[in-house]
Amino acid sequence: MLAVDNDIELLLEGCLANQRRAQEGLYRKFYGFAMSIAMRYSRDEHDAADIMSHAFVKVFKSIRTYDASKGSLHAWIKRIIVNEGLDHIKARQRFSENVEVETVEEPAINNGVLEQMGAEEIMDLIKKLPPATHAVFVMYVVEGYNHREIGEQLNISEGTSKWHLSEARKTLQQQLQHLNN
Amino acid sequence: MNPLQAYELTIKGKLEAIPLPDMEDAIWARIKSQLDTDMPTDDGNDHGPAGGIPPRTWIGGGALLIFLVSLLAIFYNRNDRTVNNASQPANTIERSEDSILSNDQSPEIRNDNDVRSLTPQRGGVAVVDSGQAVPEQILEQQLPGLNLPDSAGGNAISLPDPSLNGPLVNSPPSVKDTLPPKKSRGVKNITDNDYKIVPKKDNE
Repeated sequence: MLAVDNDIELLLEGCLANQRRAQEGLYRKFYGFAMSIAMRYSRDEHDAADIMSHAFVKVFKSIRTYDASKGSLHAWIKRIIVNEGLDHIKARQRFSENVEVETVEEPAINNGVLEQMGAEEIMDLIKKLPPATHAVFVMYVVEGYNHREIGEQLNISEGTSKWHLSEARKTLQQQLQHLNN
Repeated sequence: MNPLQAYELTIKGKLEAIPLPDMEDAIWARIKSQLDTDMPTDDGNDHGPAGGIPPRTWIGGGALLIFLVSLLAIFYNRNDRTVNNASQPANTIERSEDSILSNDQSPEIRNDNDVRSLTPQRGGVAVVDSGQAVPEQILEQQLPGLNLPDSAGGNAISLPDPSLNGPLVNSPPSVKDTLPPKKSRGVKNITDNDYKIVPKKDNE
């Protein structure tokens, strides 16, 4: 663990000095972590590559603003990737205030079916959701943001965020039932 | 942590382990290209967007070249002046304002018919008006290596006492010392007589 931290420290110093080798080293070190996040917000691999390239350029341009005392480098880079992913989704669909709900619906979904499915099949199901609903579902279920944080990120109310999550669950239930049948 | 249903936990676990496409190099190429445009570097390994040596290197190299050329020019001019000074007639010593005199002193010159004599000042030096003879012995002491012609003799001239404090004039090096040795010209062992045309005697 200490050796990894030292490597990242050295890479950070090089990135602060705008050294290409250090920037490449940091990128490759975080490629897997960042790409898995980018994939969740994209429609396909090329979309994910766009998110990655834009996000890492932002990382290197704003590396001086990273404050280790405020959080880990992983969390900082994750936020940049998520923001870039959301920007890509917003480019496809504007996040607007739709119907607001106070409680989120929880339809029954057969978990056994899901367990038998591969990650790419599940990803395909999520990508079929409307863009805004897709973003809210991923942010809530996978990234762990609460509805208040999602509302701040997407500039929507908590009620609208809950509505999108309810819609995502209902749509997934219908798709899984269809697959089960 | 948000309260998640069982199927959502399954989805979360599977999405976190999603297989990644092999696009690491391709994506880095795009990132690097954008960084080279927005944030060019001075690294030796890095090149500008159009390739080649970055502009900063050119500017630095140009400045260094100008500096070196200026140094060479100054050095060359100094040597040139030294040669010119040394090539003056040996029986005259001209006044050098920059190196001889201190700020607040100047040598007192008294008129004399034949020789101007000077009272050596602190830091001063004897100056002889051009055309006046200076005893060889004294001049050779002060200017070793100076090739003096036969002097007409004359009155002694007082020269600065080396024991006096103050800057001494650095005597110019002799002409012989500064000029490069002359190359011999022509074919060796040939005299003017060799070029005389002697008509042949016709015995017939």
